[in-house]
Parts: sequence; C-alpha cells; structure tokens
Amino acid sequence: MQKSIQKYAALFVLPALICFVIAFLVPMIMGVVLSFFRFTTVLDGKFVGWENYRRIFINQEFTNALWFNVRFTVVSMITINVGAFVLASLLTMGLRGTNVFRTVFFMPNLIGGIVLGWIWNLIINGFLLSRGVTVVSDPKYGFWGLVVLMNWQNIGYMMVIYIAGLQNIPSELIEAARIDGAGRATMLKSVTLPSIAPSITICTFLTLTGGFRLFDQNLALTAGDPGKQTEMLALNIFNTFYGRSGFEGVGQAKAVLFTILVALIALTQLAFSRKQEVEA
Amino acid sequence: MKKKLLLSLVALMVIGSMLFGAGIQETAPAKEVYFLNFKPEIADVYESKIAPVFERETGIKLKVVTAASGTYAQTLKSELAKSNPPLIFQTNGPVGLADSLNYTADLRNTDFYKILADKSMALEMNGQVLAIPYAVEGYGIIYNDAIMRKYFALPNKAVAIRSAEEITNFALLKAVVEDMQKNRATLGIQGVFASTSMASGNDWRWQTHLVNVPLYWELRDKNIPFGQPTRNFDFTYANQMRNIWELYLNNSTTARGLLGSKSVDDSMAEFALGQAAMVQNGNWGASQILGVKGNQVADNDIKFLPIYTGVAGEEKYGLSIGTENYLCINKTVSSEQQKLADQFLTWLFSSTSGKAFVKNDLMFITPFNTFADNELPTDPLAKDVIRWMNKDGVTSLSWDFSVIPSREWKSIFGALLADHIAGRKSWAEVAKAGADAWKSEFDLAN
Repeated sequence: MQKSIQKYAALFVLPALICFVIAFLVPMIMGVVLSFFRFTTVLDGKFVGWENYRRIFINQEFTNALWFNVRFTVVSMITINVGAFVLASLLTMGLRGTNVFRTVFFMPNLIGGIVLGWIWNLIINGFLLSRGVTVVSDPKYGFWGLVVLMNWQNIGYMMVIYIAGLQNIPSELIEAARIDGAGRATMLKSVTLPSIAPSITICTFLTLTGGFRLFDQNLALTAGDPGKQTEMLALNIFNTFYGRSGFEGVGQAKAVLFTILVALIALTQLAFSRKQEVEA
Repeated sequence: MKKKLLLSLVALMVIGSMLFGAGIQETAPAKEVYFLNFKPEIADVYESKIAPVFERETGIKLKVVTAASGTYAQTLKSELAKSNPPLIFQTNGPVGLADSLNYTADLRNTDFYKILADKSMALEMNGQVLAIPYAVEGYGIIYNDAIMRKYFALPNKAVAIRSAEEITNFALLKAVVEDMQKNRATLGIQGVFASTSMASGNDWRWQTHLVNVPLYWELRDKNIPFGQPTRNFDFTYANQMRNIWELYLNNSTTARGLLGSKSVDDSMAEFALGQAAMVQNGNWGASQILGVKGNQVADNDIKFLPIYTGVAGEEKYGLSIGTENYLCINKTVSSEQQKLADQFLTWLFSSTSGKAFVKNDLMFITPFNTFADNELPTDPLAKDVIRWMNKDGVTSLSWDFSVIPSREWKSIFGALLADHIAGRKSWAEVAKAGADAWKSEFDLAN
C-alpha cells in the first residue's frame, strides 16, 4: 500500500497542483512581469522598466491609502483580539446558553463582505441621520464604520480560536496556580496568556493580514469616499488599475509593492509572536 | 484488485478533469454578436425586446452585457482580454478612444458608416473612421410643468412672470426657485430640486455635465475650437457655476449632509413621484421618469429649461446638446465577426423593426439618414430636446466635456464638490484645485 501511494503520489497531487498553478502561480508571475509594462489589457504591453514604480509616487494617493490602512489595521487588530478574548473567556466559564451564544457570535462571519458593507452602510447612515450626515460625509465616520464592521464580522471567528486555546489549558496548571495563591491578574498574566500564545499568534496574524487585504467591505461601505480619504491599499490598487486609463501598469506595480509589504509585516509579526509561545 | 480500483479511479479523475476543462472553455456560437452596452437604463430593452426579434429576423444571436453604472471602462478592459471579446463596444469621445486604439477597427467601408447622415460627426484618427455616434442627446433642467403652473397661479407669488417658459436667465430662475421653495408646502413638494446625488458613481451630473457650462463659456472666450484639447482650464466662470450649484443645494428635497447617499435613481424617482419640481438631467432619463412605479408626472408636463448660470447674454442659449455615445467595432476579432457586428448595427438603425425599437424603447435621437421626421422618438424629453434644437435664435451649448483630460479629473472634481457640500472647502478652493488638477492630468495624459 505504502508503495503504491508513492507510485501514484504525483497523480494525486496533480489536480490541486493544476488549480494552484492556474489560479495562483501564473497570475502572480504575470502580475510581477506586467508591473514593468505599459498595457491596456493584460495580453499586450510595452516594456517600460521601473517607470510604473516611479509613477506610484507622483501623488500622495498611495501613501495616504497606506497610512489610512495602517491606522485601521492597528486599531481593528487590537479591538478584535481584545473583544474576541473577552467573549471567549466569558463563554468558557460554563454560563447557561454558552453554545447558543457561540453560534450567534460566529454567524456574522458567514456573510460575505459586500453584503456586510451594504448592511452596515444602511445601519450607519440610519444612525447618522439624526445628525444630518452620512458615512461618507467625513473620513472619520468611514474609519470607525469600517472598524465596527470588521469587529462585528471577525470577533466571532477569533473567539472560536481563543475558546479552543482556553479549553486546552491543562486544569492541573490552573489548580496549581490557585493553590500557589495566584490572584485573577496574576492568573491572566502568568498562566492564561502564555498558555494561549499560539492562539494569539494565529489571531493576530489573521487580523493583521486581513486588515491589509480588506477590499469588499471597504468598497461597499464607503468606496473610498469622501475623495479617496477612506481608500485602503487593496481598493486603491483596484481603482488605479481599472479607474485610470494608462495607469494599469502602475496599479500592477502597486500590487507588487503591496505583496512585499504585507509579507514582510506578517513574517515579522510571526517571528515576534512565536518567541512568546511556551511549551505547556 | 486494489490496483485496478486505483487505476480506474485515476482514469475517472483524468476524464473528469478533462470534461470539466472543456466545460469552462467558453466557445462562442457560430453566429453571435456580443455587444457591451454602456447604458444601464436601457439594458433591459436590448435583452428582452431587441435580441429575440433580431434573432428571429436574421438568425444571429445577440448577446448584450451591460456594465454597471460608472464601471464601463473597467468592464471593457477585462472583457477585451477574454477569448470571446465583445464585437461592439462604446467610447465616449476622443479621450476615451485614445485608450482603445489597439481594438478599434476602421469603419469606413461598413454599412453602418454609410447611413450616418453627417460624416463629420464620426471620430477619425490617422485617416481611419474609428467610432460612429448613435445618439444625440441633450440635457438641462427638467421641470414638471404641472407644479410650475400651480406655482404661477399662487396669489402671493413673488415674481412678475406667469409661466416657466418665460424663465430665460439665472436671475429669473433664482427668483422663481427661491419663492417656490418658500411655498413648498402649498405646492406639495419637498423641495424644488431633486437631490444633488453624490453617492459613489452618481456624481456625473455635476463633475461632467454641470461643469460643461463654465467650460463651454471659457473655451468660447478663448476661441478654442470645439473638440480641441487644452492644457489650461482657468475656471473663469467659476462664480457662475457656483450660482446654480448653490441654488441646487439650497432649494433641494434633501439636506446637504445626506446627499452622499443619494443616487441618480433616487433623484429621478423624486421627480417622477412629484416630490421635486426640477431635476438636472438629459433626455436619456425619460425611461427613469416614465418607468417609475407610481409616476405622478403627465407626459406633456415634462419639459426642459437650459442650465442658466448668470452669464451675460445667456437668454440666447439653449440646452447642452451633443453626444458621448460612439460605437466601435473590435478589430481583434475575425472579419466574419466584424461583418456580423456591422450587420447588427445596420439592422438596428435602418430596418423597420430595428427603427421601431430605437424610436419607442431606446428613445434615441439618432444621427442617421434612415430615420424620417415621423420616426423621431416621441417621449416627452426627446421631443423637447428636438424643440430646443430647432428654436429660432437659440444656440445650443456643445458638449465640451469630451476634452476633459482624464476620467480621473472628473473623480477629483467630484470629490472637490463633495468637500464643498460638507463645508471642508470653500468655492474658491474648489475652483483653484479643479483648475490645478486639470493641468496635472493633462500633462500626465500627454
């Protein structure tokens, strides 16, 4: 049996490999190559060297989007993780109806980003109606609107991961700590948090990269209005590519920079968090 | 045994993936015309009315895809790269055409070009005819004459004139509008003007159409011929634009702060439902008024006023009339397919059944010699555009916005207008930033 699996391994890998190549590898390579071309449609173009990369910075658009995105990611990463951890702690205390609450909190995650964006657009506009403004009247409404939206969507998901982490803390460890006279704060700091460090790693990784990659929610909630002031990187790239003729290559170059940037940030974060993890 | 099972499984998988692969490959039927439509308001006419009749009469399938409002350029870009690209697509003028030069076939020898009445209207480049206009359109301030009559019958009205027809300049318009707004409860309206729609993708009535008015006057002052790109737009008529812009905002159905969520559809619905007396739009909006459920406006009460802004001598000027609707045929497809495209367009604009659709459903005022006078559209707005075009002693404003240096400029200007509504920018700042952006966009594009 072992032998025949080895024999057919290549065949079994094939379907997944084909999908990977078609849907990921080819577009990725094409993307990098196209960032050095001036083109209208992706199949014909003229080589222009680093010109597209230079043209990214002819105005403040990209740096503004980057700055807005960084602020958004930091805020939403903190609020989502704190919120998810608090909920997870509450829902592992053995309260009545725990399972119902877990399900309810998880549910928003099942709705697509565009739909969520529209729904929250209605909710927030309805809420702001009394002030006579809309979510796109001022960038700060858009910013906090997006933070609320992301929290609503992601807290439930992260909560599930934290619950799994919390349930994995050995009860002997908790008992031992209690006997040693650890108070609530000490317990949290010295027992709970170090034990769930792997969950923290994965959750911060997911929220960090998720914050940078945010697109549909951004598009549906504010579409970057007013005047691109709530435009994040992914939406800015999309708008550069599709919204400006002659800037397709620039959009592509932005996408390449964006990939490198997110990869760097994510790897740094992973390396940092891994250090905090302990073997329980 | 196990080996056989494994082998047959593998074989199944391979066959399956081959079938699947064949399934996703989109092959066009032998005779199909793929038209990428620009106008969402009439998408349904193409799909449910024209396509079946065209197929019945010629045996050729018609596939119509419509890009969502404000997304035509991006849809076109991705559709053109596909293995089954559109045969017919639209361009909005010289600036738009420059982007798709690699895809536009020479139309000089097509039947479609032959029926164009005034050949100078086609877009030519390097001796080739690349795009042919198919609809002449006009825009201005659409008003509901029933509400206007009601106002002019008020005993306490503040103006001397007695009908909307007598409004011939900005001062009169302003006096009437402001007095109407005061009496809005009596008139049964929520505001004189329908919402100044500023939702994303819905600000083209201002950043393209309204700004055309100051653009037109400035270019004429500078003796720049129509259609010639210019690096300098100094916004010399900024104050005139401000006149009408603030009139719209101050006498609206909707408070300033809420305009960011209003779409053109919302504004047109307000007009159709009788909540507003006026709305700035063009004759293409007819279907959005007549087609609204619960439409309160009688056909013969829908009329046009020019967009008066307070320019000296504006009494002698009419609606803004022109076109940004040109059709191109894709040159990358086979010559048979190009012929099919030509056949469809010629059929639509010259056969009896095609012309009936153009007149009654698409409601285009066409520039083709195949249409007799009694075949012009009969919807109230098109009729009124034709009336204004032929009015004695009145000159129409041309569509100079075709020389706006890029689509990006329109977005920038739209955002500036939004900033002005929100009170973040004064009008002087809007005008200056608009003029500066024009220069930088012009330099980027040239």
